[in-house]
Amino acid sequence: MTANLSPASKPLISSQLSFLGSGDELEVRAYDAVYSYSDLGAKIMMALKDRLDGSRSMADLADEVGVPLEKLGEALAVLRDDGLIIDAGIMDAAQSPDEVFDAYFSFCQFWVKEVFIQPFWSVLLSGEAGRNLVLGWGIEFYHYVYSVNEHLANAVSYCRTDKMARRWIAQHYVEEHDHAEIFLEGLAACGLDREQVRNAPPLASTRALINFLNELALSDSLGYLSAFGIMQAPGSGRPRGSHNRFYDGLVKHYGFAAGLFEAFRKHASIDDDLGHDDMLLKRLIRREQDVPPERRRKMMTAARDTSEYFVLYFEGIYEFYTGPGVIIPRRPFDIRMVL
Amino acid sequence: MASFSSPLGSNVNDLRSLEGCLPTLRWDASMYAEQGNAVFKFEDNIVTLEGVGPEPVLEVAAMLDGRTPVSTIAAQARADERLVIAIIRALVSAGLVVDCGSGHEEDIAPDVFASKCRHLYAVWKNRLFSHPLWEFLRTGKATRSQFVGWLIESYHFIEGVNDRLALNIAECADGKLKPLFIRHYVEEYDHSGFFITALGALGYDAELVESTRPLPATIAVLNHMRHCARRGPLEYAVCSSFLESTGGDRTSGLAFLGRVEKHYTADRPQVIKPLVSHIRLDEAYGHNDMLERVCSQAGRITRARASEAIGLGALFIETMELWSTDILKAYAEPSSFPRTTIHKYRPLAVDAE
Repeated sequence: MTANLSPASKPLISSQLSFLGSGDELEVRAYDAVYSYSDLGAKIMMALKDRLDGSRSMADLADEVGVPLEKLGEALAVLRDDGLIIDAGIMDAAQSPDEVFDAYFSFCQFWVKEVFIQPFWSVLLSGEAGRNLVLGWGIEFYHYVYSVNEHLANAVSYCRTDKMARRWIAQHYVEEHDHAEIFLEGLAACGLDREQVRNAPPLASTRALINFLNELALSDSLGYLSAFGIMQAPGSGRPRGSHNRFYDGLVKHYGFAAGLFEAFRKHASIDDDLGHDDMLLKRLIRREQDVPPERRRKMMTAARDTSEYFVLYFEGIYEFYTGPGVIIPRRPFDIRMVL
Repeated sequence: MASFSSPLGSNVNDLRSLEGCLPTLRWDASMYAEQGNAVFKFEDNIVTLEGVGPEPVLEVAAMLDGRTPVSTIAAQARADERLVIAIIRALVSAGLVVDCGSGHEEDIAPDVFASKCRHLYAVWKNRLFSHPLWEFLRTGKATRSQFVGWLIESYHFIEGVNDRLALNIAECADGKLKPLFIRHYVEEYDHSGFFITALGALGYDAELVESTRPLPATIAVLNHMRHCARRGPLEYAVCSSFLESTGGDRTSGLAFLGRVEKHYTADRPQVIKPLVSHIRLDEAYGHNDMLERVCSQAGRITRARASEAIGLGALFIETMELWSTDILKAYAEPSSFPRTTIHKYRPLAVDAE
């Protein structure tokens, strides 16, 4: 991710950035940082503004913009270091299955940033989220975790020609099938009624994520397993047990939801113990001598789509559960109400 | 918007029992405290309960889930049972609460089911078309890229009949219903051509349009209908029929297109013309009474299934709202178009409002 941009690199800029200013002064704004450029740096960045789409090499860009390659690299270095620029050519350049996986996972880490710039996270971490938002997140997360009984079950049943892959997916499903109970327990500890939570209709955005995973699972194993990189990317490389500090912080802000955060903590520990950060996709493609371009595209598209559905998921939680007059858990429709 | 108040205080001494009553609050109600009263909203109504502070009312209302008896609610809320009864009676008379404990048949007659859907469709259409996307397109406030984005996503949406209706036919095991869906599909399967023609008149050729990646929420609408199709033909029909316009909707639909044309394509009448033709063709096919035709073949419907089918319809409307928001946000900047690579989604921090 932070490897230097070579002349052959094809820089792709994060869609979360915006450019403000012109001429000698320019600000490149990310969600949580502002990068200031002046003089030559500003001129270079203005010229690059619409060119960093991952289709041009650094060498071509230097020619187009008319500056030395070295100066171009200097202008982009800070954005690259902060993970806001990625070399779009790494997937095509990858040779071995492990390199293909690493390239794929770099993109997962790049795209997942869009999920974590959602207002939901900044409000949650600021300690200013209301009870509805915190518990609403818990309810939607319960639905999402319970949905393994749709998408993982589908993934097992539609993996019909690759017995080894099916065993891996089946094992993963067996390990995950009852994890939603942990969250139900946690929500009950916060005073919510279990049946009300079970019966609550998920938000449309939550259902959209679940339906998307279902359709992937019904289509093919490679695409389905590629969705998991987005789910694993945020915690990748963290030391075992490091989630404790995160949840300790949330408990300090939101004592009323201590039971829910205990559930998150317990779930993270179980996943640590089960080694669920060891991705099945890696095992799947390691069996191949070479990963053909079409399969690489499938991996990338599935991961990208997944990141977009997670954007919708957190946006949906934030917009609904901060709305006026929301009743949690949501009530299911009963036709007796309109007879 | 109807607004009325219920003088709760005068009912507090009404000791008539609610034994056996399992009160449930409407699924679409929202509630909050305002000026010392509890206020509820549902459909187009605002109900204010006066005479008692909002806290006990809101607490009791949150517990009305159709499973919990009144005495248990009073005990859990640590409230006087007479007050709880008064609150529930007031909410029942306001149309916010029904008793799930008694007086309801196990099955619903198909014509009753269809008429309840029709009532809800009117409420839902009003709600959906109040979304900023439709308001912005109607008034010309939407940017040109949002207008083009709406046309592109509408193309994917209409082309999606092959994702949803074809699956519904394949999944439908009812020999009486299947021919209805087959006929519907045969009449609809190529209607995305109207949008290809419209976009072509705008300068976007078919190859480009077909190569664009639909927004996630566009796929979400289609996936929801696929989900419904797997649940059953009735579940599918509730969503599908919402999309078919009736006489009044057609008039509003044509008026809407007229305004869109005025704001965005006044110099290119060939853009909107195919969309008008699309509406007129659907009218000629008579797709507007599909729900009634499906229901007439369905026999009596169990209460649980009727509830689930309409619940999925309610979620469909929320998905359509999600779609509308996604279009507004994703196409807020001209650079968002065309979405032909996996490297584009939303620009930073764009507010749909």
